Amino acid sequence: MKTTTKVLLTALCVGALGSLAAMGVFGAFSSTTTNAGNTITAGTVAIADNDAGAAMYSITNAKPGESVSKCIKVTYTGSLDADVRIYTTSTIGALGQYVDLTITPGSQATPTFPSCTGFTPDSGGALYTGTLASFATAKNSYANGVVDYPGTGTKWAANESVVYQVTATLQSSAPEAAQGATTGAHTFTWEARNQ
Amino acid sequence: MGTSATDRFTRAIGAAIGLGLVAALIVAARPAGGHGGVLPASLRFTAALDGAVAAEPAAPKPLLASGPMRPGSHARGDFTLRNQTGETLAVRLRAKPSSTALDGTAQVRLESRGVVLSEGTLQALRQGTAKPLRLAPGGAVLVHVVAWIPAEVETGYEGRDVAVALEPVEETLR
Repeated sequence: MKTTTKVLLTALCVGALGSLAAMGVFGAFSSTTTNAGNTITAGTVAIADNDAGAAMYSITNAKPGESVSKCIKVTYTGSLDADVRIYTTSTIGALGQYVDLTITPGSQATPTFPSCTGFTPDSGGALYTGTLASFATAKNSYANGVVDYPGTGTKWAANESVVYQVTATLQSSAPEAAQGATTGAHTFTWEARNQ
Repeated sequence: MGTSATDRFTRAIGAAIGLGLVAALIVAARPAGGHGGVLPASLRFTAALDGAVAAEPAAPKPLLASGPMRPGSHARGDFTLRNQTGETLAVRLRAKPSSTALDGTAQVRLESRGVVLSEGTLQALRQGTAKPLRLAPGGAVLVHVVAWIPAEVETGYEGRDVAVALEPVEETLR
């Protein structure tokens, strides 16, 4: 056998065997099916306002007939649809029976707490009108709180907000007994619960 | 039967050629190199709201939707932050990504008023911007967001899709 023939045959054999080995490596049949990415993540309920920790009003030396009107923007940032109710758990002092309270929902183009510049009330009017003392008696928990929704909706969805105008007026007809009296510090609470 | 030097040489050459053929076959069977043949990454940024600071566009509208991203790709977006409180606020922004898939791969730069608030990995932005934005009551500021995958990245981005919420964290400056 000639040398050239030997070279060619050797190359052929090695190449053929190598190719077979390579096909064995790359040519295995297989089949799988998967169901990946299963996960459960709880939703959130979160509500916030734009007061930065400051009070809406703090009046001293109030005169009969004196009124204060402030606005606060409440924003819902949870992922679950929610109900929101307004109430107070504060104990109101003796002056509370002579302070008229009105809470009106609406909107504001550029809210800046506690300014009501540009506030537009919703068409439905005030959510609460009465004395501060009555509010504290009748609306003192989530269960009996004032219910409100953005616009005409029936839920608070993520990133929806409402601006509330809170007006407190010392009654013009406040009696002598009201002199020097105080409402005491009181807190308004907006509580959200998922639907 | 004795083997001549010429035969041994010839066999060695033959073996080398055969091994070379095998190696060529294996190399030819490899997937194509480069980034063109793999799925791209994508990033979507939204500005989360809270009570004190409003954002525009606000979530769920994206402020940045990258589209397909491969090493070397950049994506840009802007949003406005507005202080709704009656106090001056120092506002930092922190990232809340939907997954850690691009944490170490994607780079993010936040810039406002010509100042870089933060630049680094998406993971680093989870801790918040290094520099706060100072916002007067009612004041607003435009924030620029740039996200990219560095050109030298070879892997770790393929087919990964991450949504990032930028959350404001405020401190009142009294």
